[in-house]
Amino acid sequence: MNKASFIAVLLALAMFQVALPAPFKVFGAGPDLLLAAGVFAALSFDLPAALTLNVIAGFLKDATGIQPFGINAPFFALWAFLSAKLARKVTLDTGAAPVVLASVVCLAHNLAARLLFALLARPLSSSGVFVRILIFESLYTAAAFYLLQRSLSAMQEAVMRLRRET
Amino acid sequence: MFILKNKRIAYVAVFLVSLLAVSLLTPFLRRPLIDTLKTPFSVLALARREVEGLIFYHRNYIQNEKLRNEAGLLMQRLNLAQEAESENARLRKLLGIKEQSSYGVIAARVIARPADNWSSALIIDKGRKSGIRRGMAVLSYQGLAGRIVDAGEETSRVMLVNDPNLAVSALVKRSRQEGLVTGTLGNLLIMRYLPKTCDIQPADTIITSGLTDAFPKGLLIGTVTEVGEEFSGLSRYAVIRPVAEPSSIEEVLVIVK
Repeated sequence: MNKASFIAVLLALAMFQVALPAPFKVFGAGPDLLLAAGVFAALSFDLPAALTLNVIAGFLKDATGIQPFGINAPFFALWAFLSAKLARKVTLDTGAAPVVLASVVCLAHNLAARLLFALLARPLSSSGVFVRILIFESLYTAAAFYLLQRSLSAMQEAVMRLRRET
Repeated sequence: MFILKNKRIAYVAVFLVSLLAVSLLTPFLRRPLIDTLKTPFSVLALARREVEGLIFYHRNYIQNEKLRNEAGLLMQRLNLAQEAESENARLRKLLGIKEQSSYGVIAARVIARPADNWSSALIIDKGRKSGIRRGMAVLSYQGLAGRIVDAGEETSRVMLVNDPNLAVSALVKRSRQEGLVTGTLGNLLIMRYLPKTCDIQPADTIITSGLTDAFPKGLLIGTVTEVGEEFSGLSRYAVIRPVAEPSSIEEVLVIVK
């Protein structure tokens, strides 16, 4: 998949994420589709492209938020960098490894972002709600990553087949 | 080799500076971006409403029947209240008391919600063009919903009452005990800084105190479901069920001061 198409996918995911109907949320937590797409980009594109796409994904997530500054763009870039580095050392494109990676990245992202806000003296949610969102969002993001990976691969194959035929 | 390494450092530095710029400029870029996306957001919000209507068809059907009965009952009460109001107005006139100034409201529709699970907010389809400004109080049809945190030309962002960053000065309607209501990100709110000897009990109604300019006095917040003692043992807290269910707000009223 080329970068322009992936940016279109990111836009579509951002739109879907802000309009996600309530029944699709589990215990108040929805999947982080943009983070899942960011992890996918880190595993599928070269490092400069993955970083750029992750900054775009992070910015799209920040755009609808109420935080005083964009927190997701720098963190998304960091996770993309670390995931790409890890992918060089460990095989991450087979089996459940990328799904586990998406879940771990989501967990790390939420913990790091909450820690940063705690350091900035911003109020946090109660511990029960915190743990609930942390766990369910990371599991849900992993499931969303699997679906996204399958759909994007199928889309890529369809495009390739179409190209071959024409 | 040295030049190559320097070049790499320069690339990394440029990237980090750009990243910092994106992060700091995000609050300023939000408004034009959300204003631009207003139409697709509105279309998606419509689709979302339809999907939810289909999924919750049975629940909505039962709820509709119940609400019809309730509406009939409330209509009778409204008639009685209107009678009392007109009588009140006549008596006020006789006593020469000035009427309390009422506030104007602007109705708006919810078109999107934030992409993250760590804040409770809404994006509505009215902005500065309609007279909405930062800091204005937002109501649902049931009671207090939140506050405007940013107003663009065409859209505005509302921080909901269950967001931990929003604090509302409130009081218990029955005993006039004051406290501070904050969000928990869940469906419940918490009222803190209540003295150990305070008069508060489950089913008490909580309203805004009007102590700060942010919210007018008397807006309904919710009802007490549980009262407990803080970990320090110095004060008490109350868990409140908000009248406006934050996750299901579709339309809001913005109080224009």
